Amino acid sequence: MDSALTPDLAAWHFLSRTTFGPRPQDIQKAKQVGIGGLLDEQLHPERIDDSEVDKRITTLPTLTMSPAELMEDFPAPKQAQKQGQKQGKNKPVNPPPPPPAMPPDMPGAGKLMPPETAQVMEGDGPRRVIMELGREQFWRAAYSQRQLQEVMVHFWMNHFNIYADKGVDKWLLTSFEHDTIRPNALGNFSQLLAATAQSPAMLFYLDNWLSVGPNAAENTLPPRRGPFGFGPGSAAMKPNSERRGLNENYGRELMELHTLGVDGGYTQQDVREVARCFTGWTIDRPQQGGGFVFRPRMHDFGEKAVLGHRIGGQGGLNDGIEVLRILAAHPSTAHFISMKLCRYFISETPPASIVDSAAGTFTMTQGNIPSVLRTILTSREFNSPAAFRAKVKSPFELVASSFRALDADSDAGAPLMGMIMRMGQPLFQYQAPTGYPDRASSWINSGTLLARMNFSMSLAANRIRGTQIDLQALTPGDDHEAIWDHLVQRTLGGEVSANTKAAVMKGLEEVGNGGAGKPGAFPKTSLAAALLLGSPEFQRR
Amino acid sequence: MGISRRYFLRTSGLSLFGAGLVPSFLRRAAYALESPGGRKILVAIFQRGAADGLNIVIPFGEKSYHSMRPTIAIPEPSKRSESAPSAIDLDGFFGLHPSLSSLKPLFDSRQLAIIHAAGSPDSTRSHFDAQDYMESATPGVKSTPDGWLNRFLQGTPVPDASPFRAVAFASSTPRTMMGSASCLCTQDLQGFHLAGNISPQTRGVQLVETAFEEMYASASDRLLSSTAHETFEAISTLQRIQIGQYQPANGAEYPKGPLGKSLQQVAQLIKSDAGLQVAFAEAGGWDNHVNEGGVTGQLANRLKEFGDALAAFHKDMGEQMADITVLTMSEFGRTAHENGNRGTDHGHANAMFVLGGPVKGGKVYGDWPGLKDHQLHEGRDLALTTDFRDVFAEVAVRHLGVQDPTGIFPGYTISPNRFRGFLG
Repeated sequence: MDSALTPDLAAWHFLSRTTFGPRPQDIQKAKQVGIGGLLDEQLHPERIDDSEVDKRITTLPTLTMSPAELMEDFPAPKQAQKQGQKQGKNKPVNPPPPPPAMPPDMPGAGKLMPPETAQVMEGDGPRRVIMELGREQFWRAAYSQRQLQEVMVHFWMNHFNIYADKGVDKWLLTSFEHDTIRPNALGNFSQLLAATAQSPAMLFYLDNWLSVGPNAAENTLPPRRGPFGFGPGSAAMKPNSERRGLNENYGRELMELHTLGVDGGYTQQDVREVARCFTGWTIDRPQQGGGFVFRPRMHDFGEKAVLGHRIGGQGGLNDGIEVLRILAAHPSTAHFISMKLCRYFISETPPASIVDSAAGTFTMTQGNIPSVLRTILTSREFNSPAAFRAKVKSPFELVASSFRALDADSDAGAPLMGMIMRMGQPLFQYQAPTGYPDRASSWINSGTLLARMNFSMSLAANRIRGTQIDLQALTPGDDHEAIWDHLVQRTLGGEVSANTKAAVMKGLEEVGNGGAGKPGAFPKTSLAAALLLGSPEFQRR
Repeated sequence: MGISRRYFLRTSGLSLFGAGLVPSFLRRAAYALESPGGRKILVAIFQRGAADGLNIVIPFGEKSYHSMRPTIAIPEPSKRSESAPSAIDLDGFFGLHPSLSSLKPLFDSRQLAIIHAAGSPDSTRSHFDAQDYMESATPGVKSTPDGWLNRFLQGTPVPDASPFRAVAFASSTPRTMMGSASCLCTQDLQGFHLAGNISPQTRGVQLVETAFEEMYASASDRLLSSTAHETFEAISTLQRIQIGQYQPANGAEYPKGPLGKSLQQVAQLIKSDAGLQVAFAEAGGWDNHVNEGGVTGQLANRLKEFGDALAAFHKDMGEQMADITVLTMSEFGRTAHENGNRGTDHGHANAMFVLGGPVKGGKVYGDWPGLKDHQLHEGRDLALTTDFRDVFAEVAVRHLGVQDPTGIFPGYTISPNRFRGFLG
């Protein structure tokens, strides 16, 4: 435990956690500036030129559109049909049966769609919006120079998970990523938390936009037309009795998942009181892509008690802000966020010592994320053999790291995204607010491991539509040892078990005997790359 | 129990090696021979999108039913004619949608039971929340990490379980099956092999499989090594049973579409003795806000596929149905009144089907809450008289043999008094 990694392994280890996978040039750079130099640079993403990947991303039109524009231009099939009817066209007496795709607020939507259909859908419906956001995330993961920022965007998107197929969230997620998470990913936790609390995407996902205080004007004064700012839209939007009550979802998840943690010392009474504080935090015209608004008519202006603090009477909007302040400064939050970061960066069971240190930094710096990361990434616990390859890569990480190792290029289209889905991580499609569990046992099962091996084979053999590797550039010659050396450095930093090497060398031998290089044969480089990307070692980071 | 495990091992010539070295598939076979009766199997089917229970199991005996649904109501059985199909009478009060005619013989032979006005006590009308609550079996609690069937698997660990013990036919593991117990998730077992978009004829493809198998078998990474063992075992099982070449028995014909395809694969796994205990399948397309249709139309088409798939599975399985229960569910029902678009909106209670040899069928179970205005939930939906957890629990206890279902249903006290009695 006390021993440290050798310098070469330490660099590999550091890069495998703070990037989406080490590239040969990253290793070179680590040799020049050292790990400390890399960390200093990466903690200031604004100083790093990223124009190359930015340019690539300008090809995706939905990424610069507002939620309102996205809703207008990429309506759900059902709404498109209704709009057509309003205009007097498309009014079949016996409409054709519905396409296999399901309506937008349907959690299974997309899931039951065969991949071909999903691709067709990409063109005009809201799926295109989500696909393009996924492409941006993937391209940035694979090609951005601001790797630590991307890693943290990835981390916080999962921490503040939102399910794209819940109602209007599919049109709000792009803004959530760009405007809520990204600017704060390496900022201050309390600002990040506040941004999520006022994001339409979160307000919708965890139902706070519907929450009305029992004694709020909304419930006691005569109803106005369109109290929530929407007209006669889909059934999900129709006001009903449930919508006039207090909704505790956000209050509960805010404490359990976003800040204190389930054992963070709050009670059901606290959940209720927090929910009361947030009444009136809602969305201005949710069906038209409106933003955050505080509606006093929905707010509970009574006194509240949250975690022993008195809040109110006439606080209004400030009640919620006060709750966020209390939660961000709570010792349980410092510990919970530090624990999650240590689990992400070190291991599933990080030593208590480093969690405590990180929590100390969190408290001392009032939630300064770069400071907490610095504590973790420069710790003895991080730079230890016990942490080396302790983490199983998520499917997204596996694919991104494969790309970086082999210098692959891709349109990040449906075929590639479909593979990530089959490995168990359909992007923005995790239903529960917990986000994907950051655990090896939840990523690895017989089906997903098979999907990982199939991905490795497909990528190495150039059989993913829209994705290429340059086999020639990856082939130093026909000599097996040379092929092995080159690829094992790129993929695993040269650190590999004897078994894995034996299996690869035997494979090379046999494919050689069978006439490699002849038409129709599996090239040696593809064979070796497939086996390395699919190896047990490469499944870990 | 004629053959002992010991005998089996000895005659297989494997006892020399000691139990630790016996290949796990043989060890499993040995256990299978010891257990009296067959292994009980559950097939759970989720109708995602909120199926309209009131037009699936029609309460034609309710006076107001027809007036509430002026364009989509299904005519009562007495109105049947050659040209105009009607509800298929079950008990003088309820009738099946005419598209479900293939299920009527199963109701008559008492293998199909229906529980009406069942569902979640949580009154959310969000598909997302309601599916989440039903699949986790914790209405109102979103943070439950795993699904109810995974908790069943966790609570009844099987040493050296088959990789096919729990199979979900879906593109990603459904919430119902999520959790620490292993579950194989696939849309198509035919695709469960190592190929990587490469023609299997390509020289070298087989080499990759062999190399991976060797690499993982001797890897020190225990999680990956043991999982890979399952993976390769599953691949070879599927090769052995020739999953691509299946002829359903008894002239059964599965309808085209995902549900029929899934159930056919379930049948194949069961017949090939692959160790299946819990299967999960999905059927979508129920969210008919617009132009739902009546005797014909969108819902009728979905039901035709649904009913025919269940009936084909039943026919295909033949006598093996004695050990199988099929359970259907949908996150909530739909409004009692049709809406202004000849469809229905999100409602509350719904109808669930239970099919199989162990089922005491031929009956619509549950207390009927009625459809008069004051009897409706929040003035608009079919009210709830059976908590879906009591249906799940009855299946878990009386079919799957769970002694103590507490762990499967956290925060809910299971009492056999609330079981509707469609099993056992």
